[in-house]
Amino acid sequence: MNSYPPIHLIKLAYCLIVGVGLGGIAVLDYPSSHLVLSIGTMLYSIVLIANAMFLLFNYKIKTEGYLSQLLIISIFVYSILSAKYGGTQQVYWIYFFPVVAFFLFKLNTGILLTVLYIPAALYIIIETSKPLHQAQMVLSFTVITMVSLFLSFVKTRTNSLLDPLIGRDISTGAQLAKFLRPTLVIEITRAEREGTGLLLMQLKIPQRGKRSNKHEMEETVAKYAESISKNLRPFDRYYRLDKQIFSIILPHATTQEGTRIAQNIIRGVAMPNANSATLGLASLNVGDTADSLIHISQKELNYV
Amino acid sequence: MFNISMAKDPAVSLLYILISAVCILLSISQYIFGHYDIMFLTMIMIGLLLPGAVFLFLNREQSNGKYVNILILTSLATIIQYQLNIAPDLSIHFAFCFPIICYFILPISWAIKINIIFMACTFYQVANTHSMVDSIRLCFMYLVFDLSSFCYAYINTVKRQSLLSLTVTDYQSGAYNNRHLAEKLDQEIARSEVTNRTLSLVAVTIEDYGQILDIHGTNIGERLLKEFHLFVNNLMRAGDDIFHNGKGTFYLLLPNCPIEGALVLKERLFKKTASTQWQYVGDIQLNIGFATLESNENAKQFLHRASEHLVKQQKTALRLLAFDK
Repeated sequence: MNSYPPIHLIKLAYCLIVGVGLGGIAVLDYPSSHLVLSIGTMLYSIVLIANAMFLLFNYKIKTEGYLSQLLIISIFVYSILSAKYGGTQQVYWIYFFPVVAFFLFKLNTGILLTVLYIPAALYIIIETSKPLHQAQMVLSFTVITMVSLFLSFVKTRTNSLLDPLIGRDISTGAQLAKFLRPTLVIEITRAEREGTGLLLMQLKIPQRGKRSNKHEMEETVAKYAESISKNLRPFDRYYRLDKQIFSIILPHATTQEGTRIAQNIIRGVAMPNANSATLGLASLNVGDTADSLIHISQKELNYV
Repeated sequence: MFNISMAKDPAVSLLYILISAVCILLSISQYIFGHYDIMFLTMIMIGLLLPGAVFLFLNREQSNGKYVNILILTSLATIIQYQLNIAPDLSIHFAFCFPIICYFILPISWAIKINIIFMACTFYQVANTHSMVDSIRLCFMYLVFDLSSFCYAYINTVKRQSLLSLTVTDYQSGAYNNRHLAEKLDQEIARSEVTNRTLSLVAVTIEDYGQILDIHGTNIGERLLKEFHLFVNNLMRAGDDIFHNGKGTFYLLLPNCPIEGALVLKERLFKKTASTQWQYVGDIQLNIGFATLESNENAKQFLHRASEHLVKQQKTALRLLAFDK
């Protein structure tokens, strides 16, 4: 359990608590309410517990948003169903829709879904409640929607503010491609001022096979990244240019030293076809610029 | 309005105003239906929210917003609990709004504490006014809603923290941040050992930066830091780096630079600072500490030595560079 990220644990706990609780509600509803509602609640409970089990055993597999779509549709259907059969006691489910919509989806999609849900929410409120309660419920729904919208807005804004400040690729720990050129310009200036060597290395990772999927590819890339970070000197820097290409700046290094480092990197990857990684090297010469070094190393990479 | 800083105080003010507007409409409907006692309570809420919004907006650059929010929300919670006692079926809908408002406005630790107390009181009131089956159902729905709001707020907080841990730039000044300084120092010290070249670290603070924050507020403080970062950046060579520790101290890392080079930079900094009119605060003065890497010194010791020299400089009245003994 130690390797589970905190967000994952929270999701797991939430699904379990809500799933078990809904099961209890379904049992309570069975004698007092309509049978359809009781079965619907039980099914919803089973879906949430099944999702908890899925999260427990397959947490590395991404569901590509299908689960979010399923959840939002089920809340939509369930809130109408429960209000229809359960009456006033079940009307509270309408408050969940905006929270879930803004939580699971991007800001624009969340707004669209909530706007589409408003007629359904108003219908439920008018059909199930007394006139005085209707005003109060509209207020609660409006306030919850507003706060969810604000939360989503603040989340989007924070992400957009932080995005340009992020320096590293999350999955590999490599620096982002946008930092390569500025750093290379600085390193060229330093190398020329100090009269030392500078090498730019490009490393292209081979595919596992024609049928290798996205998940396998990410695993391979992570292994290479780990080997790169282990075999570099503290002042060397590596960048992820493309999904499969790493670029490494090696100050104070000759071509021979660069080749040796590359061999160590490939040796450090415990995979059958690690040797088929391709390499492009560019050494700093008089008149070279960041662009020319990148161009030469890419040319070498394609030539191999 | 939202480009001012990372703070969400303006958004909170706007939210209070919007909730007040909705509450005004609600109080009109309560008046029409003749529920004067509940209307009176709703008007007290409006009376709390509107001045709160104005106060927070006017004092958005101060750090006491959290306590004002706690005061407003605990007062709201008390009113809702009192209202639950008068009209439970009606007021339970109001109680459903409370968790998400709380998690949005307050820091998560405070929001959890207040919500637990509020939830316990709500459960008690619901148990007293509803049948057992209805109470269980209602309490469960409330619990799920509270949990959903908590998850939303918690996951947002965790994501924000993990994004912050990936950043290399300090958002206040635009310079590299403290984390990147530690990483870069290790790199440059290793490089200096391989190449046998000097490495210098200069620590710079703006004198009375705390007072500038008190007088002009955090937004002007942040703008000054950004302006100062650009100003220092123009005086440095390619290959030198500038960092900000988030507390008003800048560190300039100067590879292949002996003490003489740092002295020249210090003089240029003093001279240029004195002749510059700063857009937001007029004149500023600097304190500068300095250290050159010694053999077998690690990043922590090196940084500590530069910071110690800075403190020594801050304690002296003269604008002189703090040297080793």
